[in-house]
Amino acid sequence: MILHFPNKPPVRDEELASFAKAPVAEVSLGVQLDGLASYNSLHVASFFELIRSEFPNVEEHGPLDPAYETFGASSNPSSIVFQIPLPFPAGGMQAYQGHRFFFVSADGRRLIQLQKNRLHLNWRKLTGDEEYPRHPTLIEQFALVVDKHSKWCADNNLGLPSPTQWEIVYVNRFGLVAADGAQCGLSDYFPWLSGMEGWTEDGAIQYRHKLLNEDNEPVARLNTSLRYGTNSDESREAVLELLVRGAPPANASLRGCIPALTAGRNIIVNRFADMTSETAHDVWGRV
Amino acid sequence: MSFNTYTTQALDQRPNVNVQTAGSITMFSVHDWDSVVRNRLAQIGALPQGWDGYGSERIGEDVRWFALQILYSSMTKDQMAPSIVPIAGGGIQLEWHTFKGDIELEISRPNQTELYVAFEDDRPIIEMPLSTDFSELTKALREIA
Repeated sequence: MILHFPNKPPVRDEELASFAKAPVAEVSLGVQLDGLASYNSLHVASFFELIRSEFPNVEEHGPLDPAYETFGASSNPSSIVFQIPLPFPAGGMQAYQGHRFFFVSADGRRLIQLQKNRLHLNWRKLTGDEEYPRHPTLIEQFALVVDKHSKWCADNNLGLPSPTQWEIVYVNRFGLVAADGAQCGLSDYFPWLSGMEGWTEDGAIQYRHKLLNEDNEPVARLNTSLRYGTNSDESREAVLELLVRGAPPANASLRGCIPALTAGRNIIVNRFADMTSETAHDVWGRV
Repeated sequence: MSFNTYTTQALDQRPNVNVQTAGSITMFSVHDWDSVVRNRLAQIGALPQGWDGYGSERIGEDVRWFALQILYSSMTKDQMAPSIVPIAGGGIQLEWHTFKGDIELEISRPNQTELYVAFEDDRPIIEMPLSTDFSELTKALREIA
């Protein structure tokens, strides 16, 4: 699968940027799905048995709401809604999803998120010293999780899982310091922000890009969120979140979303490189 | 605001940013049709299994969220809210009927919809499947709703 911005040609694999010390704090690969008509929370115990050797710890969390990327023509400034903002009124919106379970690896760095209509694999930094394991490793692990999930659905007659969206998110977290360790401004990392006088106290910037497939149809979206501020020790820090979410290819299985996730990752990696400065690239060791 | 909630910790540890906007600004208020649509979707979500007397499935959350997402990407804030009806098999239909014509969007499941547009004048009826791109719905709404 190929994804590209409307005004740019697709990126070839050999053009992908690479960083020796990428500031990745967390990555999540996942799918939304339907079709599991017979699912209930009791079934989750048998899924846990399938993955327990690698993910021995369990946590329960509230369910995630569905999220879809759709495209129309109403993006005038007063109509923009990045995320549907409010919960539905009482009426059982979340009752059937049950809980969201985290199955966490012994070292706490990897986890599977499972709810009736969601399956995610996350990798996260805990101490800050860990090396990001890279996309090929994570996508291979996610494919194995998908296979186990599909087998579990079949073995328990839960229904045939069918993807409705795929999504990949990279959370990058970094101090606003130059290569010599001195504090610097946000525009030293994001040159397109140059022109603001003085250091702003804190802030949040959000925007979206439509992404087209090989037939130039809008099928996915890159959502960018940049937040920055000052920590209690007076250090300045930024969190850059890049998320690509889109519709699966027609009639795709859950595994059929793997190429889309990789296409989304390629968009994220090159967008990250494009939007950040050479100063930042020096800090992160661009290869 | 965050685009997602499924990252597990990085976002919880982000710098403490507290951006407040002026409370007097009204330009970015919630869409006029939002509460009407949301209440109706919740009513439909509360229908029991077999709600139509023929054993039809409940109307799932995914379909209702997808419908709301379509409306947010297709409608301006002051357009007319659609009538929303459940359909057999667990889907819903969005309908706009005015003196300028009729629009119906049948949503079977996320990414599987069928658009029907009939104008009051003698233009041909539009019938087409839509998956993620609802520009045709937007165009029809501009004329009819």
